[in-house]
Amino acid sequence: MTTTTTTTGPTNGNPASASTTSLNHLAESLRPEFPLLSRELSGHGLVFLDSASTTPKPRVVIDAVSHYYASCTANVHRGVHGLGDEATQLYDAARLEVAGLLNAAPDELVFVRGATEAINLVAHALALTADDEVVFPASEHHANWLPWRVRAAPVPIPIDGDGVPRWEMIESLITPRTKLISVGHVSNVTGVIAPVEEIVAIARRRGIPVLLDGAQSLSHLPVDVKKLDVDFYAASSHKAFGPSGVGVLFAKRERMAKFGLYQVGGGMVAVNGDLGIGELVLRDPPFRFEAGTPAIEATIGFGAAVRFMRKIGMTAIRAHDVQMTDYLLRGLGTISGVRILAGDVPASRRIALATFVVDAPAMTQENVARALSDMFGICVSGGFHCTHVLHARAKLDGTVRASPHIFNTTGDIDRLVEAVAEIVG
Amino acid sequence: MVAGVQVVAADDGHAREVRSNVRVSIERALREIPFYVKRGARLATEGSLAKALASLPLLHKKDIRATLPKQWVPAGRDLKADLASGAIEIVETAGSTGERARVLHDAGWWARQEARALRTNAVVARALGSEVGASPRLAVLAMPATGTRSCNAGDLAYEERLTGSVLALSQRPDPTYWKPAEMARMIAELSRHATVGLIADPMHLAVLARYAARQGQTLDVRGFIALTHATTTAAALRAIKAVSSVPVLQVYSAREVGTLFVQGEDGRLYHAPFDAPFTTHVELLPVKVATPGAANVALVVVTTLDREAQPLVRYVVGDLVQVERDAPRGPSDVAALVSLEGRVDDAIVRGDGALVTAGALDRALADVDGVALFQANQRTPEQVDVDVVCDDSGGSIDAERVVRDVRAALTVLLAGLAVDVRTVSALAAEASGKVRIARRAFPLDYAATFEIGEVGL
Repeated sequence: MTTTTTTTGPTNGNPASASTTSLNHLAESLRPEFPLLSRELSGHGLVFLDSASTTPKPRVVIDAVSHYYASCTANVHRGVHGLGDEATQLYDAARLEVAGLLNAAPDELVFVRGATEAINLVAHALALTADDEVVFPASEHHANWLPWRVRAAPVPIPIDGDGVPRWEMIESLITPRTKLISVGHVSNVTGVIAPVEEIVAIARRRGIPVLLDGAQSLSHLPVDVKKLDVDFYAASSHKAFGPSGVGVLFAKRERMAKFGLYQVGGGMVAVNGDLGIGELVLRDPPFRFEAGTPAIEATIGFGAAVRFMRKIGMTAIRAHDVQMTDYLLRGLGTISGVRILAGDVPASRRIALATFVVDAPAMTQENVARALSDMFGICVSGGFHCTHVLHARAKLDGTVRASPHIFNTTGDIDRLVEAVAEIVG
Repeated sequence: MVAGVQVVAADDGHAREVRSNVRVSIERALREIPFYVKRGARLATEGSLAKALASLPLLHKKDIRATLPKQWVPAGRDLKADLASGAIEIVETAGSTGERARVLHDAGWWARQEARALRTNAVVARALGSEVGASPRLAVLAMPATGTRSCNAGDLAYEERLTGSVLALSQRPDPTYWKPAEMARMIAELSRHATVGLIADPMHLAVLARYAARQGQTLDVRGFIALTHATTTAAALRAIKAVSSVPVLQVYSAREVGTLFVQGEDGRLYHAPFDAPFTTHVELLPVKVATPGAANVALVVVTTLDREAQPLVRYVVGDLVQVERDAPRGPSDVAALVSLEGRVDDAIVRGDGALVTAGALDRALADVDGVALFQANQRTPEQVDVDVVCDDSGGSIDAERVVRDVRAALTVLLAGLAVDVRTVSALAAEASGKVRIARRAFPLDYAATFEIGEVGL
């Protein structure tokens, strides 16, 4: 990795530019690791500010996936040949990497397709009925909304006008029928970090398990599931520099031991004896919940991505995140005609993500996002970000979301701020 | 007299006889085994045995992998009939570094030579009784032949895991995923089996031992624990000894060549068995490069002496050892060992050419508080990544302090290399079920590293 410390000068009167050197140091050193960042878009050098949707992939992840295809394509946990052994070893190592990142035991992790499947697995495993209540913020992503709407009696925690949950109400929503409290660790819209310790404390007092949707936290925050004391943690690889198609569910051993069967098939069974003769012997958890051939190459890539993050250090990533948040909020805050959701929440309580509404004549927020791409080569999200209820309750017709990550420099933010200002103007 | 070992004074006449037997065995193998016949190998008849051996090429696992079984039975024998009758058995070796191989054993050969070799240790001999060939109540804790993997055989009952009086304890290949119920079963079965001797992979046994300690239990083994299959780390040994009251000894064996060395009560490892007829001749080829943290390091090269099927001549087992030059030698004239130093393929290569053995790494980390397990990974010649599993059995552990201490402890040993240390939840087991404490991702030049010639320790 190179370690240049180039900084971009202040633009648009950005008051946070004084501390950009240390902020850019990490990003500049990491940018060469991301091939995607070297391409152009719409005639401009690419500015990628959509990591909350999915992150670019570093070279080590691309190489890990390619290596599997080129050198050891084989099924895992089944093959008796040498390639099978090599593939299995790489695949199993990924679980250990993720376990190390989360401070979990490897047998507490189930590989799934992503955070969505992880939450659905919990919803299925808890065998919820229509009378069972699940308490969750109304602002949640559909992945942490619909499973409870479909499988249980949803109890959304009210939110304020910016989409921030009114956490003080959570205890009043708990009833004897409450079976689960399910919370996004970090809101995918506001970027605000949930007060997990307080939520877990309330849940413990009432004997209710807690699920944390870590889709937006895995790559931004140091996550220690033991310290957090949550029962379940769900996350996706693709928002954490890894391939799509794989994610992870952490479940405490005692919780996972009570899970009913999820999907059945090959890979999760030790023996399927003939009817009337043999017995059905299942494998131990977590393998019991991983039926079928897994996303082998994606999982190996996930392991490489986690290794990549751990090599940088989650503390260093978080430090960059806080500084970047500050820079981003201050920059957007200078533009009249831009309203940032939860803009008054300090950087220490949020990740590097800003969702905002641009007051641009005759343009929807989706139009604004498209214009940023087509006119300036800047990738952001536009629309509802899978949070229809949040937008409806906040009376928003869509929003624009910029979500930088460790490879973004203040120069990227400066270009965003300049571009939005031009659109507003 | 060495404690626990009956040392027979090296007698010139006896030594001559041993050397003569080695020559006879090798000449027979070169004459009768198609593998050697095809290669036209000849043993020099003039000069010392060491010089004669040096005239033969080293034999590596890859050489036998591709040629089994047909090239390894004496000309004229009907291999198919021998396999059908059980006169010859095909045995899979686990392969510490993922290099699996199949080997041929004469019927009953493994049990015979192991029983004789284990009795090299006086404590084991007393525990097993004096009758060679008796059926002692042993338990084995290592990679299971079958078990609850995907689409496998499932769990087997106690009775189904008995071979004679030997109990196969484990049913799960990777101890990282052992459940409490599985470990409780194994501990209970040690008692049920009235286990005299436990032969165990030290890494697997350390996992079981730590579980037992957490439960306030001990391992009910009544005679001895023999650690085999892998390098035993100081942390693993501490964990095992904390829950057992019988002698714990290291046994050095390999499926291809049998039991080579057995630890005596003085801590040294002695060529086994300690009396004729010997089953192997062992050459200890010195390392030519520096070996910081280890002295008198040598490569183990073995010639089998009592095999009809697949006799091996100058076979490189792939392990490094520390040789005790001054310890008394027995009638086979093979030097005693101070320690097993791990696989050649595990040793870290420094930029200055020095070889850092897995054993040296373990000694450097032996006194670092809070280390349950570690693995040094040399992915490139410049970089070593060290993963550490913390031992939090004594309460919460400061992982950052452990990382700092590990890095400091390795500073001298891994001088010149970029060392990255981090904590992990567990280490990945090999396909063989073994857990390596070091791995190197690139090959080693044997000729540049070892005295392949006639100089032996």
